[in-house]
Amino acid sequence: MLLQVENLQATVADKEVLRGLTLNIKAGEVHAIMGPNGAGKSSLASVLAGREDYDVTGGSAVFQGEDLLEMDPEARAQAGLFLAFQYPVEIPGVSNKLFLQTALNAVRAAKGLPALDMFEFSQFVQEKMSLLGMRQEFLTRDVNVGFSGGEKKRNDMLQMALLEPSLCILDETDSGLDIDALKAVAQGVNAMRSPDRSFVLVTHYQRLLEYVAPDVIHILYQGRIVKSGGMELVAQIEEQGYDAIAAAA
Amino acid sequence: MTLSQPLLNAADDARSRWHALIANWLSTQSSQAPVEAKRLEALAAFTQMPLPTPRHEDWKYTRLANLWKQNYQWEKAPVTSEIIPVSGLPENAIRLIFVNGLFAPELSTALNALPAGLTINTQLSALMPIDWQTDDALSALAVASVSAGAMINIAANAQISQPIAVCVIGERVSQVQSIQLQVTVGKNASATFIEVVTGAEKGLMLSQLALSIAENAHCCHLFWQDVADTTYYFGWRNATLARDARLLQRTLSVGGILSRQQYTVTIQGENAEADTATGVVALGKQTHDIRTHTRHACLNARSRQLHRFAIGGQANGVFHGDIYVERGADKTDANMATNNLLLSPQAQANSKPQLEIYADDVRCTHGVTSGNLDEAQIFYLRARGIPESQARLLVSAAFAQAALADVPVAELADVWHEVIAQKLQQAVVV
Repeated sequence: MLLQVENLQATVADKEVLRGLTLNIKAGEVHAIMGPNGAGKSSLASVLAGREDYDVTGGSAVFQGEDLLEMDPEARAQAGLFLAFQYPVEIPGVSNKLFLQTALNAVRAAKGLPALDMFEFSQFVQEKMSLLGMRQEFLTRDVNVGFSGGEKKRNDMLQMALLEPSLCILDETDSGLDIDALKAVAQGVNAMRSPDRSFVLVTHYQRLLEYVAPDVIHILYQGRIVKSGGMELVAQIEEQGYDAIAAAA
Repeated sequence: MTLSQPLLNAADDARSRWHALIANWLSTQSSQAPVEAKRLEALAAFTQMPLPTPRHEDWKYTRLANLWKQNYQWEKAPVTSEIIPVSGLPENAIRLIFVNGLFAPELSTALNALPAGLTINTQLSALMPIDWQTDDALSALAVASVSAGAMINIAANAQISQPIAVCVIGERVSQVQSIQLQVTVGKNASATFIEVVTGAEKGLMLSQLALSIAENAHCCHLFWQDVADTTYYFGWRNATLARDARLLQRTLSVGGILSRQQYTVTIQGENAEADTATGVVALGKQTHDIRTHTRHACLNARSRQLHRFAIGGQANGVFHGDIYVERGADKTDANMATNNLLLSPQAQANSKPQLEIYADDVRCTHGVTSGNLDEAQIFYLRARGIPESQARLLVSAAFAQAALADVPVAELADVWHEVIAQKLQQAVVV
């Protein structure tokens, strides 16, 4: 099992957001987590990535055999967990190139690999950028500064491609995207699917699932997963709505 | 009253001690008119002028109590050890090196082989002394203590492509060094002028610069203050701009236990433009005080200022900037931005911008921001595997570096970026 979440409970600003969430993800699987506003979707992504304003009050999360909840955010990333942000952050004054190189070398260092110098890094990043159809100027601009919503998400996909994580959590990365940007995100995910890499797609909409076919769909409702199934759940949500499904579960 | 009394005594004591030391030193100097007369006048003025106290608005946040306790010496000593070259200077820079308050010709570029249009005179007897400011006793102390200087003249129409670098280096403990520089950039000329002040434990370093930029001349002035962390630094830099003149001024200030720099820019000609930016890293118990006075005296001129203070430890970043637009200086476009980044709970920023406008139809703006590191940015970097201390360093260094992003001398720009990152390393330990 790549990730084993058992009865996870968490609060943010003293408000309960996860109330006994259980989720198991095997290597190579794609899981979609759907739910209404306020169900705890972003909270789950935040807790797994280690956002410090969230307090875990119960339960456990084991990632590749290690206690995830004991790890710093950077240690989680170095161990192979990647969070694609709902709102990627702008960092004025730090060039995207410097950021990407620093991140890649930090992850490599944690794996005991030597740092890539500027030349090696440039080659590596060029490969990944051409796979994602990204323009050169992406590197010289400051991190996400002045990027459109779609460009920010593409930049997150580039980071994902560079760091080659084993678990990618996409936190509503599809919200607010036009169709081209959505396809770019889907293309990034599909290009990276492999038997030893898993994805958790946290989404409010079914749109992304038209482009990335998940293995399992979970319905998150009031901080717990109330139902799991296949693509048939999408139609059921359309028909009945979350409240009815949760009441029946 | 009882509290401030001992301070005043310490200041007055220092003044009488220093007066005797300066008078003694001056008596050993050979006749060097007109500097000699000016030093004596300034020394007399120094004894008469009120000394700064925290009760004075201009000195409220920049406390000199410990300055008065220092023991300084005015006697100069020649170079006694190998001088470490200043980093960041381009290979082809014309170098004027001052060590221990004296010009060091053996370390400097030969002054008889300068590019056409550039003349430099480092004879003290040739110096046209710069006056002190009547409201600033420390500037009188600086004039009274002048031991070296240079007259740098760029002839009309000369385009000097090699940067002219003036390095003031201290290698002796507890020494006073006061250097005056007069720079004239002639009509249609252009030049890049670098000033570096460095070294010297427990010293008192004083600089005065008078920069005159003639019609349609362009001058880039880059100043790096990197004195020892036990040294006091005071600088006064005045620039005047004639019609169509351009000044690009960039300052990196990182050294000293207390550093106070005053920049006066007077725009005397139409369509002139002054662009000033400062990057300050204040850490430990440092005080960095930047003061600007920008005077618009004519039509249709522009001034832009950006001052960025990264403040950690128990350090204090002080800014006072005023823009004065004279009657008739219509169409002035002036702006001034100050940003403070507070890296620790004890770090302090005191910023005071001021506008005085007596003209119609002007565009003048000022803004001050103060804040901590953005934790969302730090988390974003950490979520990509970057350790927390490194994430904090990246973001805080970028903040200060952004003020100096367009330094046109690449070698110096790179070194400045490194210096900022190195200094900030101690502020971001988690």
